[in-house]
Amino acid sequence: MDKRGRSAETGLPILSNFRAADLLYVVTLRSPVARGRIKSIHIPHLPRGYRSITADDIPGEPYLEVFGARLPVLASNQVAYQGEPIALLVGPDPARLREALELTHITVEAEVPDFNFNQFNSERIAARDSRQYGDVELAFSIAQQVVEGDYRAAPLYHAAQEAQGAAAWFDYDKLMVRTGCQWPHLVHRQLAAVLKVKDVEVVVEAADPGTHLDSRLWYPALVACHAALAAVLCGRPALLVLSPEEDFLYTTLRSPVFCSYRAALDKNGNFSALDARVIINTGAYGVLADELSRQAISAVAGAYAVPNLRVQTFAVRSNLPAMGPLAGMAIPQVLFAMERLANDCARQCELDPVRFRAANLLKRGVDGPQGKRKKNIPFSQLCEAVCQASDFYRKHASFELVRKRHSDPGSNPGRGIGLALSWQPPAGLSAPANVYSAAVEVELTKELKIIIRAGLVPGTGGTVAIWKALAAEIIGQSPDTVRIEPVTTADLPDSGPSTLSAGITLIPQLIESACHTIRSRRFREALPIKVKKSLRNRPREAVGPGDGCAWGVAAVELDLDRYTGQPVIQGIWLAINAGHILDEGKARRSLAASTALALSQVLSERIQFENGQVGANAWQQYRLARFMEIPPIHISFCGNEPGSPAAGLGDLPFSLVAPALTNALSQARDTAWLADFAGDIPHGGDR
Amino acid sequence: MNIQFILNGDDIQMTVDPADRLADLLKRKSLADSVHVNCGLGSCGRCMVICNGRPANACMIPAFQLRNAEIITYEGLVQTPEFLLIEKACAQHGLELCQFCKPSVYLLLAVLLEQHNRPSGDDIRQLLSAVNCRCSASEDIFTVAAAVYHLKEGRFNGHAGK
Ligand code: FES
Ligand code: FES
Repeated sequence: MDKRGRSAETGLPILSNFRAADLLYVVTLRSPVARGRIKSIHIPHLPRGYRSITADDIPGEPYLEVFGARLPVLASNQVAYQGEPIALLVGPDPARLREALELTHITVEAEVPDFNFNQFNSERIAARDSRQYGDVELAFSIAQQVVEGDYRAAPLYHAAQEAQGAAAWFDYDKLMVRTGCQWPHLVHRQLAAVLKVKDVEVVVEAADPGTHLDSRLWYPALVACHAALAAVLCGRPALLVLSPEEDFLYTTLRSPVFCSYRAALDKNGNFSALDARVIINTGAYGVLADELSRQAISAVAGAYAVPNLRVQTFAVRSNLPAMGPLAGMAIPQVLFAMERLANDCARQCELDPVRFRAANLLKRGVDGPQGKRKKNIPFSQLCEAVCQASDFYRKHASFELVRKRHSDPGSNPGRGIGLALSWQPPAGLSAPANVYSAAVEVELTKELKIIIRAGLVPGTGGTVAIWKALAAEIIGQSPDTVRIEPVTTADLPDSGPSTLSAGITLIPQLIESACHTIRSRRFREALPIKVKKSLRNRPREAVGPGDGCAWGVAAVELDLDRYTGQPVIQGIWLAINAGHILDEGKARRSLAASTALALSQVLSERIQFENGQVGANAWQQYRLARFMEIPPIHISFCGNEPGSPAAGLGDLPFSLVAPALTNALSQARDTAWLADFAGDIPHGGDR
Repeated sequence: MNIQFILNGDDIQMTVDPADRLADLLKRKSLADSVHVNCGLGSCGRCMVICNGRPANACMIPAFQLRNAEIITYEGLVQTPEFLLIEKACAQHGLELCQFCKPSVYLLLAVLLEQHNRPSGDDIRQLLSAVNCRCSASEDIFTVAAAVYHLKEGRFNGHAGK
């Protein structure tokens, strides 16, 4: 770490280690109810040096404008979720601030909150989308079989390594703001509007967001505005770090999704039509509603050919805290539903799940939602790798026999093995539409140092190591001579949000191209040479599984514990085709870590809900799986050939593990446990 | 309430609230930036210290239990030869820890080095699982832990640093 607390690996500081003379702390006064009208706020008399801040104190725009939604920086009239920030208390002693918080009294005229999103009126729809082709009604009227299923993906919390927060201080004539975010330029734009200052008067510096899984996409803008308001109004440095419990209860969870599917099958067990309704709970204010709805539609039929399709998606507001994307922009939730449906269809047709999938796969030259496919999906290659390694065919067949013989699950410890197929879109395509524009500047200095400036937060030391090695190799120097400039908005280009694998796929492409240009100009021009490369965003349609995706197949085997009924995972097998893999060891480790996380999300990170919202003791009961509990994870790579374009792969397990595990669970078939596991959204886990 | 304890070899005296925990004290007085309070519930392991020779989460050590205790944090560990040994093992195996976990993992590896009996693979996993790594370093931590122990054996046999 350097003197400013920056990590040697990522160049990013840790927020909670922020220190400054005359530092003020900030705490948040929150709404006690999920919906209502604020009547009065009674704040106790504060000693000298302390103050409160309400919406009336905001010099500029009192709203954040993020991803198509407007949310109050501090609620002034109406509250839309429990825990919504209403006021800030600022002062030098955090203990006294907490005391003051306890003595503060807010009166809110409570209204009946809306938590349920299976039923909603039109006022609650933040975005909707639909797609239809073929003749769905006719296909259903002549179908050999019709399979129906409701599938739910629960809200999820992501425990990053540090709770959200921000620090703000003055550096001469500039306001500096530090926050652990994925997109410093988004935070910067919001700050300038809320504080009513010119863009050049505010600089945002990224703190280390840890393993963020997209949980830091927009929420840091809110806490950054709170810390900045305190610093500007008090004229002193200010630090706001949420408590771990606040972070859990009031920041963004993964949007719960409810999918209702109806599939028509012909006599060969092939899909002849699909009728789907997807409802996404965006929580309060409908942040990212358009984007989630657009991405959900792209994934609705999974990787399967459906000649007649009718799908409607709704992104619905509720009185839960505003939700976030969390690793995949609703795609994992919808793929989960489709993979569960594929399993249910295979069972109904008495086909094994591999044959059913293979027969229904999108094929080369066939029109899909994204146009004609140029390549076949590498399903058989991936499936063979997974099935061989896991002994899938034998186990699946024998567990089916056991399942059919024992109709009373209580008398039999169930066993199951489940399969899932999924894809991960290329980084640029899964980022929010119309906002993405990656840019990188590489400089070769007179001292023969290479400086890389990317406005994108690198995330991990591993990403930084890849950037350095790439630049060093092309220009022909040692990686020690490469420096990554810390990410600030002062003079670095906006490279968009560091979502998904952009750091591994897009930025290396730009570094590579800039370094090749430097290499060709190196001995013809005087040093320093600076080269900037960027990748412009183009408006996109919902694309579905395009030709540039990474593909994965997973199998999960489990037993049900005889006494508790809980699943005990016996093994996880993954086969991945992500084109050319830059570093197989790193890719393997990244996949193993995401798989462990995905498993922890399904099995142990269940959030306890009470009366529709996160329960009072949910944080105390929230539990991450220990590494000890993670079973062996077997990973194999297919199609890793030099020259094939690299595709991001780190998020594949988030859409593979949950459906494969739940498919295994449906075979193990302990119905008592299943009912508890599924519950009613948002009370339970994925079903 | 007044307490006295040793922090990285220094005598510390302070007045504390009975409800305080060691993590609060270290953070409030900026005594150890390496201690990260992530969960505050004793489950993430990122506030690890060595308390009287045993690893413990600082968020789970009540201030009143600190009387005459000896606490070592990462800041104390970096002054020791064990630190160099651990650094070497991590570098050899390309272990890339995030800055939130690194201090805690290093302290646990230091505890491993102090053990007299050869730890089994399960012992190592049990010990190192105290830090809830959520990234790609997780599997490598166990590999490095085994390597650290081997380096220690090498040191006792006169091979260290070669
Ligand atoms: S903060 Fe102490 S264990 Fe998590
Ligand atoms: S090293 Fe910190 S999460 Fe893995």
